[in-house]
Amino acid sequence: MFDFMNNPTVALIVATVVKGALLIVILLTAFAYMTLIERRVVAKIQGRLGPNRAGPMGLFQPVADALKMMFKEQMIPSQARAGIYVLAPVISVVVALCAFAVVPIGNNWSANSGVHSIWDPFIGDINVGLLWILSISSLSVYGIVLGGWSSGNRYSLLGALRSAAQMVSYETSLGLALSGVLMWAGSLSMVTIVHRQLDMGIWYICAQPLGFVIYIIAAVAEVNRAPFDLPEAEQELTAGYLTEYAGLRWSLFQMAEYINMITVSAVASTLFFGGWSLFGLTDGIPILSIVIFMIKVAFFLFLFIWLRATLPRIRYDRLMRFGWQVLLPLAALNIVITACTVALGGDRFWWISGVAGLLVVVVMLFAIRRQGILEGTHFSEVETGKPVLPHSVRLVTYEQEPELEQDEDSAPSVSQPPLARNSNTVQV
Amino acid sequence: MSTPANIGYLYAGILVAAGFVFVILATTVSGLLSPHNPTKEKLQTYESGETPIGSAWVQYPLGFYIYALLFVAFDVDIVFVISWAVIFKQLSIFGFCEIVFFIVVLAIGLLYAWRKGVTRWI
Repeated sequence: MFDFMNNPTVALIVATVVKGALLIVILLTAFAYMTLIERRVVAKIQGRLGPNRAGPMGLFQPVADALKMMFKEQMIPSQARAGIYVLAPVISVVVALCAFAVVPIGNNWSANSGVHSIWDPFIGDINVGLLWILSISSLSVYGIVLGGWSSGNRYSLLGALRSAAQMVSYETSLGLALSGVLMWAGSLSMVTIVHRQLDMGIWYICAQPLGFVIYIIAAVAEVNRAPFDLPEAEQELTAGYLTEYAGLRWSLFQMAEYINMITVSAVASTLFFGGWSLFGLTDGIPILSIVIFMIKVAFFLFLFIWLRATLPRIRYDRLMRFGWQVLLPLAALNIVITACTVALGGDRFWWISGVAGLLVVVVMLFAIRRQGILEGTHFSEVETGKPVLPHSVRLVTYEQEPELEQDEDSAPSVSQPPLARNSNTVQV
Repeated sequence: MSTPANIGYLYAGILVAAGFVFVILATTVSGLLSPHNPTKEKLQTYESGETPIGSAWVQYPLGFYIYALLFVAFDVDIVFVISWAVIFKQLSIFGFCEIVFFIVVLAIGLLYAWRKGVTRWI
């Protein structure tokens, strides 16, 4: 019955189609349950319950949401450019789906013997795998810009432009940060990069801490997640490029965003955390490698949710300045450090670039904090020694305020009780 | 079969096609299931409840254009840096000097843009 599978080319195509379909199903299920987990976790952090009505622990909530979206009216606003308006979400989703094609989800079924089978758990081992991911994921700007532009709405247009500027700004840092990994691995293929980490005996996070920090910050900005979700800043732009979208088209955009999140998490765990490997644990049992890979990806997805629940959205000018004036020079510095180490003697000296990178990260944290105090985004202390609110949050300008009668005990003292912080400024 | 590396593109192409099939299928099914009852008010542009005035395609700040220019310059650099990084171990000291020189030029470019105030929004 399965005679046609004896022809290698036909068997290859059949296997690829099956694996592709399986991957799409897995990604969509992950997307659906990611929305539920995000709502539950954010609710937990904010002291709420979250959706818990549909099924046990709200487990059927994604099903209910999907059904609701299917039955919603798909309308095209009268001002919109209909063709592009319909096409934009399609571009977003297709681009998001096919970026995942080159990520190795697990080890070869024949473990490390080097024998390849057509059913190995990745769609394609392209020799320019990482370049494929970079180029495909930069295409996702098109979906957002075209969607925002064609909606015929000012909010959408501004949100789309913001998004485009933000994504291209952080893409440069992203690419430069990844080239440090490429120097160690000497290959663009994702499968080979994982095997190189096994050969070297370390995960690249040890050799590239600075590169990892830059990558993760730039990745959050790339997928437009909080605290970099300025394209969807509700207070300023309603819903940004999504304003005029409803029903299934809206959920296609959502889908693209979450799948992009999964992709950048998978890339982070492949490049910096050894992909499916875990200290030789997976040597005998290939199926275990898939589980380990999923756990690593889940950790990064949880990190995204955690960031969203913890950090406030940052201001747009600060966002752009951070991208160009902090991340980009640091990414260039990372290349120089890594190049020095690799030129010095190759794999044995990975710890030099590791220590240097960590040092740069620590210095950067201190410098950012100091800059924040100088520019007035942190609490600072005036001559009286009382901590005052920064300029950006003060209700009245401090200089024009009439001198309040101060008690005699306002002599310079470094530590004030926290309650005293607001006392000077909030009386309007 | 003999070169799995090149056949990988076929895999990726199949995935692109599968993505398109999925999206078109989903939108078609949804189009069949959902109601279709547009009214004039429903199709109006949303501007926080006000009646929209004029076209939405307004002029936007020049800053976006400058960022696009900067991006083009630096993205071309990335193409060079990535292709260099892959074969760096074979290039040895010559490749190292090359890239340091290249990054210095890049840094001067960024410094120029920085001094001109381009990297600052508004």
